[in-house]
Amino acid sequence: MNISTTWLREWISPKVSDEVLAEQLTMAGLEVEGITSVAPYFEKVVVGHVLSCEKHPDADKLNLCQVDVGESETLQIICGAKNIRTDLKVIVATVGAILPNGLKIKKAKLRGIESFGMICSESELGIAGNSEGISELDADAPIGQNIRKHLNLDDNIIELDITPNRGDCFSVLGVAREVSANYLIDFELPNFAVISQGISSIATSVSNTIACPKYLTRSILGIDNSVQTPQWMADKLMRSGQSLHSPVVDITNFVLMELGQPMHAFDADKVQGAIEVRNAKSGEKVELLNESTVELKDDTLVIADDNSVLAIAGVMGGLASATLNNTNNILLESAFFEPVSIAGKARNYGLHTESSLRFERGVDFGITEIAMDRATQLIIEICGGKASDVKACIDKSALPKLPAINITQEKIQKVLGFELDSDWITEKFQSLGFEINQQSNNSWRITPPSFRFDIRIPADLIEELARLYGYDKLPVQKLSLDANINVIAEAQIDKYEVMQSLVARGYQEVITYSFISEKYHDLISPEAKKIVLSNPISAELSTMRSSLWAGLLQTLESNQRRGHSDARFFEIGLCFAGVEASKQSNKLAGSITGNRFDAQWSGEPTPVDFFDVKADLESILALTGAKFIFVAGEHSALQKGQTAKIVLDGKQVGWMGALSPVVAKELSLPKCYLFEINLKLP
Amino acid sequence: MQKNRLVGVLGCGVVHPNVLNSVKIDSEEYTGLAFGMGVERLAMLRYGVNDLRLFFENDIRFLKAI
Amino acid sequence: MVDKILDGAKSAIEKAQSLAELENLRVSILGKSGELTVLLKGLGKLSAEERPKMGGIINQAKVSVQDLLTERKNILETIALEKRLLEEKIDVSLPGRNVEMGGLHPVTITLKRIQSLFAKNGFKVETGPEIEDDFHNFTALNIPKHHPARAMHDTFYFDEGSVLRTHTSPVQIRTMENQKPPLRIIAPGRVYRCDSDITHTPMFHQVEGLIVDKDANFAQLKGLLIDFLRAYFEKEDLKVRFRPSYFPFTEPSAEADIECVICGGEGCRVCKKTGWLEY
Repeated sequence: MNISTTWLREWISPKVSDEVLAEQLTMAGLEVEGITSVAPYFEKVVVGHVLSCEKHPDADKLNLCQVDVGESETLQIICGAKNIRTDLKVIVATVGAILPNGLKIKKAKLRGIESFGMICSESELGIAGNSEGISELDADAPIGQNIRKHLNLDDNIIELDITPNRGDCFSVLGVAREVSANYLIDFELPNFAVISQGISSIATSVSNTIACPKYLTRSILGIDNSVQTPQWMADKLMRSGQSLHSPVVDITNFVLMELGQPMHAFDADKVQGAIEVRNAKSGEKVELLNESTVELKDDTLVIADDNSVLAIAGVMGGLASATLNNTNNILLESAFFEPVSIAGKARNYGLHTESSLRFERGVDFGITEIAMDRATQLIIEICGGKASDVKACIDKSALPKLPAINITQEKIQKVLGFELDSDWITEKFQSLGFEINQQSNNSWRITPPSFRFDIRIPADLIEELARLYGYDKLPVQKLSLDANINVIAEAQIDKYEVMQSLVARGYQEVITYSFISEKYHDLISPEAKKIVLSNPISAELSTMRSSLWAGLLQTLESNQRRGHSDARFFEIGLCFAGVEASKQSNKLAGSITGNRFDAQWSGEPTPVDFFDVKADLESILALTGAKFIFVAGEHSALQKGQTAKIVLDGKQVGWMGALSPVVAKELSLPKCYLFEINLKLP
Repeated sequence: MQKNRLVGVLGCGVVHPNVLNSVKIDSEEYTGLAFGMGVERLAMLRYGVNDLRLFFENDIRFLKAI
Repeated sequence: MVDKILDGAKSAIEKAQSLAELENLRVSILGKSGELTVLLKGLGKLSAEERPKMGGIINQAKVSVQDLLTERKNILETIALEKRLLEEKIDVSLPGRNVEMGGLHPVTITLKRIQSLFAKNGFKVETGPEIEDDFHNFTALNIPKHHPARAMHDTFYFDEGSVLRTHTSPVQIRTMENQKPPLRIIAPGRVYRCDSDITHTPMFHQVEGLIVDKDANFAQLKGLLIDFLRAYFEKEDLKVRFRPSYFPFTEPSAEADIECVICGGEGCRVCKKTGWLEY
């Protein structure tokens, strides 16, 4: 989530720099992934008023402008933008300004006429915005005002990586609460007063109150949705990564970002009859705001009217009931949907929205009413209209329960390994908004507030204390060796001994993917059970290997292409005969190809053969001390007549031989020799 | 963008009581500590490898260089 | 007579150019029918007084010839050796002609190193299956169905409802199911995430560790991991920073950061946030 620091500081402003604040948030568990300034450094750029604009006498495409920048004399500036015109408020870089792209503004002569500055676009200032021509500022922009102040450019955007347990921090309010607890600055939610009258124009009911314990609606009639969203709101939304739509949609998005409550506004005139919150009927369809039509499953909670589905609850609204610029009457929704009933629904339909993200992680069921009033207040302020009273469908029994959690000094000390001061603990619990129901010197009974739905057990409270104390400051202890612990760790001696032995014989270990293509499976072990992933990355990586040879042959092939033709490879890894644990076993396989030794200054290179690989294999088998025998056999991947089964105590434990010429041809491989044995021997 | 001067190398924590309970270990009596780390990441940091994919391309020149 | 033979032998031996030639000379003088041997056999024809005298002279001559032969042989052998050495001279800078050594995969090298560092603290290595059931990979680890962490794990599924393990944590569960505490184990191995781009491969390796004990605490965990990281990177003053994080199976949870050991904190491709391998 992106959040503008000026927006955050409107709510709470500790006396530290944005960078220090960001660091503190990271150390408190809200990881800051980056902090970006809204505009790069520049100065001497101000609001100007174009007093006159005439064609340059000697250049068709240039205009000669007289611009008032609030100084005693107007500036003569030559401008080539198509949208320059008299009476426009513009951005003027005055003489002496250095723009972010390195351009120095100097007094200049263009075709014989002097120019004292430059009229710019926002993109020339290094800020996002329309780069077609010059920027047109609001008509009421104060002449001469520093543009950084005018456009509120001294702002930083903090990019937060919110962990799944901290859904409460997906808003300015949530982050402000964290800042409050960290800096011990008192913080109170403002009061959003609304004048409302009469009952909502549309009846509502909830039939699945488990999934929707709280559903609030209010009609606002007679609004003007064709006005422009105020700049202060537009800036905040854009800096939070939200795009702009109509004022009503912008306001609901604003409240989502500000208070963390996803909201929705229906065009009241497009709702047929009454609203019902219910599960979809299997096969029902809805065309969503993103213009995709989805067929619904019956596990999906929807908002419907008498005729059709209007929205997927907590995920996305429908197109048919959407508000447009000409919408006059709206039905505003603020609801609490239970996380488990929303979880995975958006994903099922290939959707991911700001709303579903919040409902899945959990929304504060105590903010529903406040958000409703906040949005109403903003709509009336910006779009006018008359608000009805709120129609509330609430099933109190279905709302989340706030647990009372007991925690003792002893328990805290047991987990963290040191003692925290009791007064400090009490202070921190209070700063987090926790209600302390009972307290002795070394025990507390705590009820978390409705927005801290992640606090359920004593361990959660201990984590809160630890992070406010500072993980980095927590003490460090030596881990003592307990007498009961097996001091001589069981090293995988056998495996590493085998590995070292192969390395000494010139083998390079490789690690290949455990999933291979069906083609390789069918070529190498067609008789083995095919275990196929339901959601593979690609067909090349779709089938669990039953033999390590596939990976070795691929390695051989790719190294061959790079000019390494004399190569010995081995791999140790699990092979899969089934999904059960007992059907997954470690194998060791090797391959050799090319010549015996590097073709070099002496002697003729001699190609490797069956007995080279057999010698290598025998040397490893000798490590076991057991008696293996080699029996002629047939294997679909190996060449007939050069294939041996490896047998121990009458049981087959592996294969070796020359790669079948058929397979070699199919995979464009040279002559090579392979072996594979079970690592766990009978 | 601020430079990330620090690199995350491992995750750890005190084992959640629900986990101990699911394997019938008394979470009041015993405390569990768990940690985990990405091996390729540690290898990248130690050997100065900058592309994770190299580990599975099995180019003999890369494998021998470490 | 003897003097004549001796002189002839002397000059012939000095002229001999090979060991074979020398051998021929030896046979012709000292052999069964060699000149001196013949003389010696003829002693019987002499008188009893002359016989010992003459015998002494011949034997003296034999010894002299033998000495000459040996001397010449030594010279010839030295020459022959030098000649051979010259012939057999090699360019020692050329590569050796043995089997070229292979090598272990860097992941194996790293795993071995990690394992040996933890072995010193009494950690036992445990392994487990890579195709896991839902219980061991998720439910037992406090990740119930619908938990947001499930979506984050980008799991590979099989039709039967099994998954490719997304972490090695199921090994911890299996170990706790089968062994009694106190426990101290590490679980190295392959894990899988359905994700593939420049900074993600669908398969990678993890080492997870678990301690279960009556007096285990977070301070010990911090101590253990700081020691491990300093030993692993061979940097005694390595800065390790712990900050709060979230994992469903731990509470409290932490992540440890270190200053990038490659760029020393200047910012490089390895330490950029995008290169972060999810734990």
